[in-house]
Amino acid sequence: MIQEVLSLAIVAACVGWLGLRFFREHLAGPLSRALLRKGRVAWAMRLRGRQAASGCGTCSSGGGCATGPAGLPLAMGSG
Amino acid sequence: MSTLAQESPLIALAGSPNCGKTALFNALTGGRQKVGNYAGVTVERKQGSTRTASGRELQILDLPGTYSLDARTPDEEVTRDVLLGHAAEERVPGLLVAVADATNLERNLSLVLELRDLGRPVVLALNMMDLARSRGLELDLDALARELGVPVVPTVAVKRRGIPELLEAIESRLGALPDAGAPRPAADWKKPKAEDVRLRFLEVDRVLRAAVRRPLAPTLWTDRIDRIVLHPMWGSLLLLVVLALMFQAIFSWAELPKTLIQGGVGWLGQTVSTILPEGPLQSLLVDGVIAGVGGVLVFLPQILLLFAFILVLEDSGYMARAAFLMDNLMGRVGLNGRSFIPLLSSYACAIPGIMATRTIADRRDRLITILVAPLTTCSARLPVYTLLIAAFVPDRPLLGPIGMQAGVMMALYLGGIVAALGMAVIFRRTLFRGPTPELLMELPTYKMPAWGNVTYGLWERARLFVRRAGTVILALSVVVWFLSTYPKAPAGAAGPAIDSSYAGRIGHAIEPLIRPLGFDWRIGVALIPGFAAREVMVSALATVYSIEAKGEADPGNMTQALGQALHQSWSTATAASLLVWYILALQCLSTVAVTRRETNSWRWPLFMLGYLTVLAYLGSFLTYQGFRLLGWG
Repeated sequence: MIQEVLSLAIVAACVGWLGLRFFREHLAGPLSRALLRKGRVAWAMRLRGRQAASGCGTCSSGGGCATGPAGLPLAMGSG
Repeated sequence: MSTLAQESPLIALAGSPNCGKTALFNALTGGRQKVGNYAGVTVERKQGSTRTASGRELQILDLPGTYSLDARTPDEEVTRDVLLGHAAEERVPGLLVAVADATNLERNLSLVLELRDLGRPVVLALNMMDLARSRGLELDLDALARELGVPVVPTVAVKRRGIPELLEAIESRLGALPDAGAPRPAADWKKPKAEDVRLRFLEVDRVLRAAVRRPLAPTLWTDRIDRIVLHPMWGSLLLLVVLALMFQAIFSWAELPKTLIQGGVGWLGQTVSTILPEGPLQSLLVDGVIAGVGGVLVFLPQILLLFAFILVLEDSGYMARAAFLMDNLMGRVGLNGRSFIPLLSSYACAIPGIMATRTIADRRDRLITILVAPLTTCSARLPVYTLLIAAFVPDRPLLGPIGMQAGVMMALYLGGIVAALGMAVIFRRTLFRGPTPELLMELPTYKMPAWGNVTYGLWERARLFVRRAGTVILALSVVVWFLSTYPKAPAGAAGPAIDSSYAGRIGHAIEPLIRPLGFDWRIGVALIPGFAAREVMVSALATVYSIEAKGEADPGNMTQALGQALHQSWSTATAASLLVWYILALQCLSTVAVTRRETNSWRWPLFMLGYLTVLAYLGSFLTYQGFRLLGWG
């Protein structure tokens, strides 16, 4: 019984962590932009603070390639 | 940004591509940004800080290389806007450090003159002075400084020479400035006309005549090596030999460390099985965590070997020659020669590769390169390839020291290249019609790799891989374990317990869709978490097979047991089909996200996901059915 509870707790922690990571990497950015468009600056800034760099765990630049908020906008149509 | 950082002067490093700006940035700030012996390594601005001897803090900004302020590509636009003070999110630099390659002054000084004419204080860092001197260059530095009207400091950034002197020159230049408040944007800068450019080159000639006492001797040995390396036939043959040796080394040299890691993982599995009584926690740790994470971790030596080769080839200057050799082929398929470096970066990971397309000026060329970049073989595919090759390809000699396994690995990498080039042809002839631009490429001189860079690059790679295994892969392995274990099979149920689990149900639900590819429900289960990280496929298979073989598998030898299990339950046609799927499919959520960011639209990432999925499905289907027709089903 204890083994079952412990293992399910570990599973729950992993699911929570993966969900949070997905939110920070893929949802926080678009959501903060949408909030900014609606004029909710405080919420947008809070979300932007939680935004993570794109997941580039295998990249040769060691993840230090400034994909995060520090990078200047270079996207097509905006650069 | 802290208040201190806001107040400290912002010093921008600017110079032509491959003149050593990033090496100088690292030497000044103690940073560890990637440097390479070819143009286009830096495509974004990077910031760090340093202190002068007197304790004054300076913010240092590293910018992408450019030959002129008349920007042609998105990365050059960043440099121009920052230098002019027109970048919206950037402070105006208080001082510019013009970095010039001393072995290539004719091409580098033009930008120095442009920077000087902006009216901001400039210090010239004359980099790679050791190479220039060894090739006989004798410069009158005082004359150079006088003619240019800026202080000149000789440096060797990779060896951190000349750094205190450069800091001293920066501080003295800053100290000599009148206190006129924050630096202002260059409002009167105008795009240079042809006549301006001509006059500037005449000025470069005049400065060089005054400052050069003995010119650079031609690099005889570089020319001699290039006669073979750049020869259309011998050079291509040499490239193939280098690649073959690299893939052979991945298999043979990695054997010992791989065995050691396998032993360690096995020992851990056995120890946990002994300590913990049988139950869900023991199963989670042994079948989920240790089988999952350990199953991926054993491929670390192979990944490090691959990167050791790539780093040494990059640093020596050979990679730029490989790009030159490939240019003819790339031009024929309608790809821009500048696409080579982004595609090369994609061998590590498609994300920096897609970002590196910023060096491509034409929007259509850039989009083609972005769309085909995920077809080059990123390092996350390596564990899957190695697992399947070891399980299905016999370890027999193929050609001299090259074995069959290395041959198949090379074929998979070449398969990715062929697919990328093939799709580029199709895109060029359909969606993005237009002429193929010519490649103008500067070939760096050969040099001994900076072993510090290589070692640090490998250390970073190992750190990232282990961190990834200990975070994303661990978490996904735990989730796969849960899905493969719950709900438990009802009492008296026939067949393996995993059939009743969520994973079993999901797998059986998608099986009709993937059955024509030769994939069973277990592969379907493993493919789904593979979208978060490709190599999770290996850990997911390890977990599914480990749970299925409960009580029979030896926890001391799980990785080998997985290979044997795959060999027993899959046909050669299934293994080949899965390999083709892995060459072609876009199994990477992060690549979709970065494509969205770089193209500023959802249209292209969704198109990319769609076309690659259709391509992978068709490729796998044809491979599986073809193998079956040949009797290997």
